Amino acid sequence: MLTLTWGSARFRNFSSAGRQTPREVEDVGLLEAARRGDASAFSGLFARYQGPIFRYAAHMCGRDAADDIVQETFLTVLRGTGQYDPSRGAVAGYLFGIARHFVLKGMTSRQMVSFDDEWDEAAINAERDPSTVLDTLTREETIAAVRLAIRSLPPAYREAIVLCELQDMSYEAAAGIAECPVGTIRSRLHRAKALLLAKLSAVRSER
Amino acid sequence: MTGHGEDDRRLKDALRAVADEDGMLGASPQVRDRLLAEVHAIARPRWTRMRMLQLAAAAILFIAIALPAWYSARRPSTAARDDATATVQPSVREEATDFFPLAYSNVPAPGGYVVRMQVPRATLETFGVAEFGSPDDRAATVAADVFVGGDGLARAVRFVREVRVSQ
Repeated sequence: MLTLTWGSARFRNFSSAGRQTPREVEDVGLLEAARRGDASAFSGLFARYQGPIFRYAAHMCGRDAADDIVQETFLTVLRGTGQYDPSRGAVAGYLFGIARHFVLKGMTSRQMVSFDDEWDEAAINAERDPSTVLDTLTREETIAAVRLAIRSLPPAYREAIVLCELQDMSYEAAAGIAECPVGTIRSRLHRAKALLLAKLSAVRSER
Repeated sequence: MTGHGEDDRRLKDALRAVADEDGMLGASPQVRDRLLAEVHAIARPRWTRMRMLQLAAAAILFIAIALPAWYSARRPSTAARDDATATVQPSVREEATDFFPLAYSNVPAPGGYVVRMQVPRATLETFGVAEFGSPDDRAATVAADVFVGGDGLARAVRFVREVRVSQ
């Protein structure tokens, strides 16, 4: 059984062993009741997952598009156009899978092309200042610089950073959402971090 | 610890700081409202369909209960009516005497008609058929058919009685 974590709450996702946690079972109940028109069940499900999905969408497509992606994701769930199969994983993964579909749909063709595994070898291998690249920035500057650097990452790497680092998901959960092997997620994450450090180092050099 | 290791740690902290700052981000209330409206739209037809099913079930139940009750309530009255028909209708028939000529019987009549009326019992004696009246019948009158011509003059009369016949 694999685990994904959002903030302080831990969720199990993609229960390959077939066992579900009480929270997962509750999620299935909320999903089914929401589809039958139960407003309180929908509110419960929405309260749990709108934030993580919004943040994922905001990092991938920008905040302006994030609202629409959250709306489309839950509309798909409510209208039953995306069939949920409990044997294939938890509700969380199902929701992120739908959201990812809309993220990809919302990306420009240029972004779509660059979604494949690609990286700027030159940037990764660039000579980095041996001293730390972040130690001279204030917290606010650091956050702003990291946001900017994340935004400039190729989508596949950005997704790995957003899911594994910002959403605290396990590699397995992230791989399930990104529909790729776990090893691919690991390597994307490794390269994404290297690219981030290279970009942040460039920020420091400019100061 | 190498510089790269320190960078990785710092990067992790920086990403954590971004994640913490993102923590409060979420969809706008308008999105929630729109989605809740969708949920209510789903619920409405379901409620109506459920209501229709309940009404249909109630109607079926009503028919299932009422129909046998109506049948059972109807059967005795039908039987009673049948009994009544059996006792009254076939057991009574009429007997009549021949027509007796009256004062204007020799006046030609351009058509005419028969009128049923009650006449005094003593009239039977006048026409010589006193025995026609049943001794059991204590009525003061007897039924008589009077043939009246088209000119309004009575031409003949006969006497009628009901006879009970056991089946």
